[in-house]
Amino acid sequence: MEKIKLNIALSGLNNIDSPGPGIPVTRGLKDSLLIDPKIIGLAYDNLEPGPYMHELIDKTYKVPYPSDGVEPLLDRIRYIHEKEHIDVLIPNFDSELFTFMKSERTLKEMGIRTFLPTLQQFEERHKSNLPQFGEKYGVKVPYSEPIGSIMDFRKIEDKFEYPVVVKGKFYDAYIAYDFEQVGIYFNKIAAKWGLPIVIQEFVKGTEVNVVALGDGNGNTIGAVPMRKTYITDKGKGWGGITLEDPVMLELTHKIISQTKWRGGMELELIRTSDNELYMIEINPRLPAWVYLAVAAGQNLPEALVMLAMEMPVKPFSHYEVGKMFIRYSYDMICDLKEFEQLSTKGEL
Amino acid sequence: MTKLIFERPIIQRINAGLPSKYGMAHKLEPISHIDNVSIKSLMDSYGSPLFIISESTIRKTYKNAFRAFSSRYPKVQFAWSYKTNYLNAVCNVFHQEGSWAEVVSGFEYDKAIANGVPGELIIFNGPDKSRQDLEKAIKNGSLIHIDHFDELYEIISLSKEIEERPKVAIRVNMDTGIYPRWDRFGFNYENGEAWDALNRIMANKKLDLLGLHTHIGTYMMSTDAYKIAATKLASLAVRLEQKHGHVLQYIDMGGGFASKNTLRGAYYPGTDTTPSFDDFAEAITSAFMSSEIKPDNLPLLILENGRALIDDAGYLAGTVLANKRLADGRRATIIDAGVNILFTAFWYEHDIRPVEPVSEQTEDTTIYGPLCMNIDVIRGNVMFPLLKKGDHYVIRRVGAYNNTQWLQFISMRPNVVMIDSKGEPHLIRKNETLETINSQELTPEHLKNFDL
Amino acid sequence: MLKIKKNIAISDSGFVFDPGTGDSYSLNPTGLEIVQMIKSGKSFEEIFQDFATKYEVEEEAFEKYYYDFTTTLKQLRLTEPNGED
Ligand SMILES: Cc1ncc(COP(=O)(O)O)c(C=O)c1O
Repeated sequence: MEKIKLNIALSGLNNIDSPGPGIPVTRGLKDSLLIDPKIIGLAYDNLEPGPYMHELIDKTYKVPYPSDGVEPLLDRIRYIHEKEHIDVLIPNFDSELFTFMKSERTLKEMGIRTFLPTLQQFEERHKSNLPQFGEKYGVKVPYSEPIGSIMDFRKIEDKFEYPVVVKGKFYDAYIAYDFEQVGIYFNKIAAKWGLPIVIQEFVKGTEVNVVALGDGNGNTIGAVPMRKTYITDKGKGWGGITLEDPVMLELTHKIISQTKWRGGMELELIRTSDNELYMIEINPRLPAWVYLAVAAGQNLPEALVMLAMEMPVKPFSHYEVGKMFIRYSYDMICDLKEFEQLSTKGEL
Repeated sequence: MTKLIFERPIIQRINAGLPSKYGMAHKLEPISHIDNVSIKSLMDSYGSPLFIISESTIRKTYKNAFRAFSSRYPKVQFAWSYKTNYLNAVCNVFHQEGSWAEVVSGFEYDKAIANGVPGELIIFNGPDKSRQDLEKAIKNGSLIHIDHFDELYEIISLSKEIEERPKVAIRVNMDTGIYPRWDRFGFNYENGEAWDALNRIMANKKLDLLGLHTHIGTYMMSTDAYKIAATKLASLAVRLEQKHGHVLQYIDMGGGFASKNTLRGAYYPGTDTTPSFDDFAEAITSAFMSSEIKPDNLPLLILENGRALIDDAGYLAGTVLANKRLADGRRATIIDAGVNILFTAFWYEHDIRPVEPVSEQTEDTTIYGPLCMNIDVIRGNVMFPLLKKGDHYVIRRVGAYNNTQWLQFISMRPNVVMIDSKGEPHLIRKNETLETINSQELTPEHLKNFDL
Repeated sequence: MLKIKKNIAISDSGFVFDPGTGDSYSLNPTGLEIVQMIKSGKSFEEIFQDFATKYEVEEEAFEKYYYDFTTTLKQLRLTEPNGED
């Protein structure tokens, strides 16, 4: 069968020790039997490894940060589109998603397709909205309440048992064993990410994850559960193994069908000692370990592109259980000329 | 041959190792004109720095906001929040568009009266109303929004002396799911205090209860919070009708919509994250429409938005005083407007632009005001074009709270001009001079002379 | 006279590489012109003359920015330590 030629732009090329998903997504696309992709990298930094990995990334353009606003980013995408005729764009950074979701229609008018969650899906799954999310969709989540001051916590302290998890609105989480520690972490996180701070019940157990893809109509196109076998001090998986776990899959199907999730997602779950599953977080994109799913038989990046192209996609029904990944780092040798080109011309 | 524009030379380190704060630098487009009037020519005539207000932007913003509500709901009224900007010319543009006045002090009340606003179209809010203020407001038939029980009893006591019946509403505070919760103003919904206050007013036959009021906070980015607030107020209205057969004339949802400014520390710019008037209107009106209030009894919907209506119309233009290099090598640019006249620099990352054409080059710059104080920072760490001494800048979206919260400190407050819809500039507030300040001061006789 | 270190590589795009430290820098076009003139051994007066014919710039202003710029070059150790001072 003839492969379809597609120009695919994607970001998250920071394949460093806590990597973005750009390179793993690219590997999935390059493995595809249906698509012949030209990969156009979108980079924020001159030292992201992706732009220098020529066997995977065909051409790279630097782009302004989403924090500069929608317009500068769209201007740059327009420029890149003129040269490259982008068919599909896959943003892989959390911080980009909001901006690209807002620009979905404009991109579509330009002829660039995306396959992203809706703004409502995106907002609903924010950490500070987790309890409402759990209630609405009948999913077990750790009990949590936002607080605006440490005195607020005094008022609700009775509802919790130590330890508790002290979380920032977007990032950071610490385990606190007493009131004093809550105070310390409250101040630490508030100084960095602002208010409110979320106090969350600490659920003891094993962290397990699912990578999945929803078609936007409530169907799960693919889902692969995994347990991290080795976790770095930054909380990133250094190794992992696919699991046979009908309960996790059922939960994934339930979340996807009820939210009508569109696009990739990573579910972070905790399995307690009495074998109950709690949902800790939904990351609204494919995770950096997505290539494990590809290797286990579900090429989710390929399926995501096909969905974006509105081409028929058959849901995956199988994956190989016990497939492992071990992450490794590698010193790539690069040419200063290329660094110069990316940093002064913004293209490589 | 015409010569090229000279740009000052710079050399910058290319981020070596650590990911930098900035991706690909994007050019800050200069703003040379406001409503087709050259900013430079305005500064030539009226001095630097200079506040410039665009009348047509106010009218356009007002119409857009009003349409968002009136196209969804049968009865809508705006009341201009005086504290946000009480320059008379600004207030009167809003009054010409149809706004009532919303005031929070005796001073603001008198200002609205002096502008010609009929007493019965003034909403009197806030915890600070003296007995004299209340007496005047009752006699004028103004709408008094009661903040606390002490005020309620003051009004009840006045109602025994004055012939006119006081027209009142209560301010209600509540949990709308946002932090911080503004629970220091008005009566609380959840603990029953608001319901209690309403019952006491109903029990007193001398007061006319016309409405309910809330103002849930300022720079609100969540439309959901308004939906919750509208739902809670609607439920109070329904209970009043059920228990007392009393139909309210209006519900005042206050103000608070975020403007398109970017909050300090926010990741995304306000232009991307601020909900539109249509988003807010949808949240509020849908809550009323789907409430238990009978369709014939739908109350007038009042809004008191300040910043969302005026921020975009205000600009602050001025001149670069100097450039210097900080100890760590970063660039500092000193401009002639400080935080004393741009109070909002404390919470916004203001959009500051060059007035004259610039190249693509930018440098990590901290922009300082001219005051001899460390806190006088207009923008920390902004990728800014290479302006030179004497070049001009313009700061966008400064229409709200600056012309009311500015301080006379170290230097005088500058001129304010308004560009009318035909592009004519009008001086609407004169700059202060030494005489302005000294005319308020009295020096005791024995301190008038000294020998040095 | 001010001298740019011999081993400093400067490309036409304004990219500067210091092999001694491994740092790289970028110059804006004005900066690049000045550095190239310094490299070719021109004095401040000569450089100003060239600029004055090409750009709209007063000597006073130019001098200020020139010295601010060359001070930065010194701080970044891109110049010979025993040059002008
Ligand atoms: C009672 C009341 N109404 C309206 C406003 C206007 O608020 P904003 O400028 O946030 O719309 C305020 C401001 O504090 C207020 O206190």
